[in-house]
Amino acid sequence: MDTLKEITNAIIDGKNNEITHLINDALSEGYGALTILNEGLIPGMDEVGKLWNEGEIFIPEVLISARTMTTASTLIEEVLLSEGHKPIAKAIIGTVKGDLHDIGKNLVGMMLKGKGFDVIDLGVDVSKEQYLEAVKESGARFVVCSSLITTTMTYMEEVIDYFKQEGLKDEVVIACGGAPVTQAFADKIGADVYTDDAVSLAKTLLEMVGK
Amino acid sequence: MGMTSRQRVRLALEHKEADRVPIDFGAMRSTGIQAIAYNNLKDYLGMKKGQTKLYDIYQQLAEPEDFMLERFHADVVQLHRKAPAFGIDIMEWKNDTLPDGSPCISPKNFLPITDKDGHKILYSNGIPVAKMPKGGLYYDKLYHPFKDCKTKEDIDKIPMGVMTDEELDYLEKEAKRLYETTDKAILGTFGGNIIEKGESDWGFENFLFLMASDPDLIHHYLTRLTDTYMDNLEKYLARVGDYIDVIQFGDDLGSQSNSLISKRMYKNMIKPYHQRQYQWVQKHYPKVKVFLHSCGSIVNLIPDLIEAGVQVLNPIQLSAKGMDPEFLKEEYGKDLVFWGGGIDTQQTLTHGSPEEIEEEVKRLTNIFKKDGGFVFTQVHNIQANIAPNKIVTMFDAAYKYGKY
Repeated sequence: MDTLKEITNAIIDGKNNEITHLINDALSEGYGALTILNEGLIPGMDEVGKLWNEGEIFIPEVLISARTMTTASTLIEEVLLSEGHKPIAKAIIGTVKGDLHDIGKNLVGMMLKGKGFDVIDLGVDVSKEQYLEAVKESGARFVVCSSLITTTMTYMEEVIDYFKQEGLKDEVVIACGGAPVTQAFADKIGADVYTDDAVSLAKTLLEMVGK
Repeated sequence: MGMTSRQRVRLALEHKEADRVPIDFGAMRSTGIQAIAYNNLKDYLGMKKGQTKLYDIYQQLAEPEDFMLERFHADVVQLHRKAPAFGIDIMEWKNDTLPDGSPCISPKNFLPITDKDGHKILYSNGIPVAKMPKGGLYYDKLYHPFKDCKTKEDIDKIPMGVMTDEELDYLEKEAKRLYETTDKAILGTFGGNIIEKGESDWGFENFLFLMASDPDLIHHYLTRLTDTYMDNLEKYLARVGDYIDVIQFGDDLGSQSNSLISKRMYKNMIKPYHQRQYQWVQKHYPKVKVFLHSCGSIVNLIPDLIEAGVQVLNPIQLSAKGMDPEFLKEEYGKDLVFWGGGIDTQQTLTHGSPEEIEEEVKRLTNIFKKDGGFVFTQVHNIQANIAPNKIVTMFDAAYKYGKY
């Protein structure tokens, strides 16, 4: 089997023990790092996302694939940087203030990384000031806010208003998600993007890159 | 003479129609009311008496007082574990204040420390075990004792929670008191959590990851955990089995859009440990019904849950994918008592008007009440920011439309 195809399969099956060796094989066979990323790793995570959305695999299987993807992308990023490539876009993610739940936010991060984004994870209990500061520091264009509870989702509106007040709302795309969040709520608070799930979010943000 | 609450609930549990649908107002740690909302509700009703008891410090829930139970036609009371959350017992109380400044009494040993950033941290034996972020309304767990276990030997070194004689004495005395001094049905909070205990002991993501990557290690942990539970369960029911009507287990198996784990993984990794506990109860205490709380979209797992021995299911999370009330009642109404599903808390109770709330309670009650097998309660705890008039509308509608 072609080494790139083997890399794709190792991501899908979450074979963390094999991925480093497979990537080194591909590099020594003469594949460029960008090719390995675009034709080996990203198709693997795309398939993982697709299988998850179709209900064929579940969170535990996504987690072992994502762990393998992290191992792989750490290795690939080093090579890419040394070759002068830049990530396709930067995205800031975080669970909003007052809320300590992170599995949904982490899954979004995994899917964004799977599309080649540079993900800056601010963690949980993130204030509007922290989101804004992170944008200023990193120049990221995408800001993704997560919340699990009905009492914290209202903070997303404060984040959006703060970006408006500071004159940065038009510079960024703010996405909102989490269990209690709906399209209607996202529209009401002025969010730019809402999706039902992590896979669709990564796809939507990728389509917005460069537009 | 009218029917007592206990008789009403027992009929519903036997899939028979009583005089009306029984109502659960705050009798379980996921059918509860956040203490701030409870104080607002008391103010709204002009009930300036009693004391708001913060019995669940984790989710900040209030124990409904007798006059509130009567106001809302509640039919169920809770037999608490001695230490419902974070190992802090509820034997003695002190005056305290809720995050909104309103008064309550809280467990004497509930002594959070505010750190330099304004977060409240709860310590146990010098270890930070839980945190309420500044401006937050809940505590969340910080401590995962099995997080770094790599081998079976590592697992065996860590002690598991055995029920003490002191707790068993308290449970028996309290169960007898509730049985003799109230006419309510009694829900005994046991726990017996499998996947949730794993997530709590190992960290949520780490545990789900290990279930897929190292099933042998996780089976070893779950076997030991269930051995401990079985020992506790025997002792627990020997003391309270004659008094309680339902024994409550808990294990959230769903997310908003699907089950957390596949049906196959449920069968292989979780079901054996559910089944051991639930079927033992059914065999030895047939009058005590097996109640499982399991949030999220779990529709694909329900046939296996029934096989494992679940008789009463809560909360019927209506907003999660596939949790369609008509389908569930039609398909599983003969096997399961639905305890919950009375109104969606993520959307309708939070964002809806009183008219929309009444309409939804009416619609759902009419679906679930046929042939008994339904206890009314909202899908999850009433949150701090829910206006009191909405709570009144909800329970009054449940009483009005619950009549047979």
